[in-house]
Amino acid sequence: MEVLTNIGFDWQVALANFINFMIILFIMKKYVFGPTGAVIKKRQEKIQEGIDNAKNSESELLVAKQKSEEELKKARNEANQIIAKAKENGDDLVARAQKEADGKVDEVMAQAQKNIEKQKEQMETELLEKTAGLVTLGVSKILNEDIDNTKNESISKRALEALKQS
Amino acid sequence: MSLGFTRELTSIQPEIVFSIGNFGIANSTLMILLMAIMFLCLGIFSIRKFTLIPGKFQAGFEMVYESILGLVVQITGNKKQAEKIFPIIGTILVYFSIANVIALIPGLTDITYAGTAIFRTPTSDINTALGVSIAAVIALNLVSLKEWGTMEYIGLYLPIKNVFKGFKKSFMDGFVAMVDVFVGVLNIIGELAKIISLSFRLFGNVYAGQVLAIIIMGAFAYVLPTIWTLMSGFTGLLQGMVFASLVAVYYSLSLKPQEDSSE
Repeated sequence: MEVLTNIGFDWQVALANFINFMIILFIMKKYVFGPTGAVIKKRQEKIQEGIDNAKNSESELLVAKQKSEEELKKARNEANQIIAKAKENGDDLVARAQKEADGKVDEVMAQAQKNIEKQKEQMETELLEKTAGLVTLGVSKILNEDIDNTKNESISKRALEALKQS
Repeated sequence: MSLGFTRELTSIQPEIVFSIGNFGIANSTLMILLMAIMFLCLGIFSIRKFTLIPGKFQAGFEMVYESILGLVVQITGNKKQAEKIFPIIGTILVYFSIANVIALIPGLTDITYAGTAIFRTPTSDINTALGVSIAAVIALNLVSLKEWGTMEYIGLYLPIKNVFKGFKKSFMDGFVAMVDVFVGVLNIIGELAKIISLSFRLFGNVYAGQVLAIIIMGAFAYVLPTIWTLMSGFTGLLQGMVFASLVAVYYSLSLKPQEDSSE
């Protein structure tokens, strides 16, 4: 203890300096190191956040690119399918129309044939009638006698039947 | 014939400036108070305004902060533990570095009150070094107590439990455990030795530096005093670093050994 006193030890001063050091420790912790550390930590967090965001954006961009490529591929496939289906439908439609047209043509042809036949028959009848009339007229001229209407009709009928039979 | 001026040698005894009742207030205490006010002003008027985008002063200060933290991490070998003790190690380093060089401010130590200098290099007073050493050792033991738990902490110094266990096993084991008890007693003495070694090393270096400065300034008026003053500043910073590093080493020795290293 005497050695300590010789080099200036004084418990009162030592205690005061000890307390003063504790005050400085408190000030440094609360007002100097604390805020400085907090700012540095905050900055590091912000930088890390930026790096993370950049990384996330990169991966998101990659995912979006992949997704868009997939969508494009899908759309292309769908378009091809639609085109193929449309072509199939078109072909069907054309075939059906063709079939329908063919049917109609046959029908028209049949009808025309029918009409022609009918007209032919009519014309034949008319021709026969006229021929019968001419026959009657010829006969009357040959015989030089007037033929009344009743006779005329009967001669015409007979001539017509004879023509028909021939 | 030599050129120079005479200057009084700083007393090895604490210089009491005034008393509050029976409690003497020494000039080293006043200098520490002045430093406390300086740190408080620095914190309130400058550091509080620190922003995410640093200015020149902030960048410089942050560089110092990170250098000290890096030093502590290097010594403890673990960032988490380093951050735990950083306030005390950082404070010791900054405190002693400033305390050792603050007296170099021209005229500061020449202000007197009732014939006694109001301010004095705090570390040239053994009471300052002792006060800080005691605070550091107490802090280390508190951290150690928290780390090991009460029973294990007591076991570090007085492993009596091991003696009983040892003798239960065999006489040889008991004898080895007895040796551990003696080692524990030596550890207690070691804690006291830490206080003495830390404080005397610092005090001796700083006081011897001041004595040498007085002698050199007494012998030479030009050139050499300037060089010596610069060197004193450097030595002061170095002493602060040595003190802080030693406390950090004592701290890392008082912790439980861990597998995890610096991360």
